[in-house]
Amino acid sequence: MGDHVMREHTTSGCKSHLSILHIPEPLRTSQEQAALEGHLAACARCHAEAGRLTEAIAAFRAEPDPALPVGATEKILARVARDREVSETAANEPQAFQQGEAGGGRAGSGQAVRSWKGFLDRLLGSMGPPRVMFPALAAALLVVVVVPLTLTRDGVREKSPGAGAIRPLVDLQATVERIQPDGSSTLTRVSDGMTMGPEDGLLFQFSVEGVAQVSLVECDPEHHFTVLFDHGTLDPASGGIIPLTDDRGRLLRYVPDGPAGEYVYLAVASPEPFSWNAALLDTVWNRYTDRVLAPLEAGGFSGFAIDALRIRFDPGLEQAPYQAVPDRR
Amino acid sequence: MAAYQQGDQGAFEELVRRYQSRIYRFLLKLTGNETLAEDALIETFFKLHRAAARYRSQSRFSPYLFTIAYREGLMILRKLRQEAGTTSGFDEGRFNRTQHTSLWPAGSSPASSVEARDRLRAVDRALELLTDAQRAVFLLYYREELSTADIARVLDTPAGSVRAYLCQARKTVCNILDAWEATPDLAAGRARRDATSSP
Repeated sequence: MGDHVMREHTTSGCKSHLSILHIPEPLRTSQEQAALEGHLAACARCHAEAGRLTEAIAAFRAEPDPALPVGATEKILARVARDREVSETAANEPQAFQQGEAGGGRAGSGQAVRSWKGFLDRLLGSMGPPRVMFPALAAALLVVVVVPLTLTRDGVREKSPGAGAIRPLVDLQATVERIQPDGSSTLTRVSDGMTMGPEDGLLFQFSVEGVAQVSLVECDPEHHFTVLFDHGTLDPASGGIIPLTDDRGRLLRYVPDGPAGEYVYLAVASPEPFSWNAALLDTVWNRYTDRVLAPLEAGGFSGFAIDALRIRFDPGLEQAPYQAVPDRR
Repeated sequence: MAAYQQGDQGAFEELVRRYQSRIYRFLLKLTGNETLAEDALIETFFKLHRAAARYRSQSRFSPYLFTIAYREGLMILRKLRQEAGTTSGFDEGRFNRTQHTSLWPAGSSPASSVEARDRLRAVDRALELLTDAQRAVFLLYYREELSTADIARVLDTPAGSVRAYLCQARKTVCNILDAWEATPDLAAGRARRDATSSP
């Protein structure tokens, strides 16, 4: 009979040795053990119950292991491998930006340009053109990219500082991560208006010019605001794009939990601390919808920089098409 | 784990292969649902990978991994309960020792449901009636053979609470067995089995 069971023999309700019920385990002294065994030898009721419990627990301990789900190991390893890949890509981002600037990017053209420049750099690098040809080729492609960017239709994605421009500038980017049935995941850079489903997770990244206090605000289809990330200090000296992580350094994988419809995510950056309240949220929202980059308050701190992304969320969507919806504007 | 921290990616696969059966076994009993257990299993090792840099080699690995698994299991159960608004997976603390007749699933009498079961099923049934913490303690102590001190670390609770949970879990198993013994049909069935099995 296992001693771990014998200690609980008083569950039979035997009143003669109630104190034994409170014996912590393991039994502290040989005297306690002897007292217990003595009682079990004398009390048939306790002995029988201890016997039943011993057998039940022995059967439980001897139960064969359940079969692992098919492919579980592969799913685990695939997910971890994918995460390593993402981490390595994120770690290489700052270097890519530096390459972009070194390649002749226009000073003051904003992160969006440098992002594209870095992206093109990597793209062309992977295609393998001779490095001596790269500057000319990249410059030609940059014209194709930069012109549309600087002629943004509504200014929402406008990064170029105009009159009354505010520092820091902020750039919000997001990637949609979808976990596949085999445990692997795919990453798709979010384009404005992209549709996502409940199985997709948003991974946010900021980049800023200048030291900034950055917040991330969600506006759901019912115009409710949620501050998802409040006042993280993002110092560009730490390098390039800064992924949005929780307090343990894990990438935040965000899934809207509201109704279907359009969600707007506003990255709000300010060189000085500020406190969120309903009025300020409305003000920021109005600035977003008005597409005005002027300072919020005369005489106050210098103001906010805002960047926005729109997502269409469909909770019933099992396979998001990853296609941008038609621009309504 | 130390090898994985040093960048040996094969070490992680070795960890998975070495521990996945134990973790899955624990999660399956904790959640009572294969799908939930598999999800929690994958998430457990993913979190282990993410936490690799923070792992300190002086702490024992097995309790560390069970800590992650326990939290993942709880998180999935709670999320499911919130979403469903009802019980999915095991319920929390339904057991009332004064209501033995309610221990058995609706539509099945103790006679019909237990006669064919062995004592193992009594333990399984008891596990369903325990709270999440009690169930975890019982599993970690009796099946995974962790010490009460290690279990206290896994649950982030005082060792005294672990012992109390263990005591409550054993009482619940005893009560199930008592109900079994108290059922005349079962007693008769067991007597018949005993008679036929004796020489």
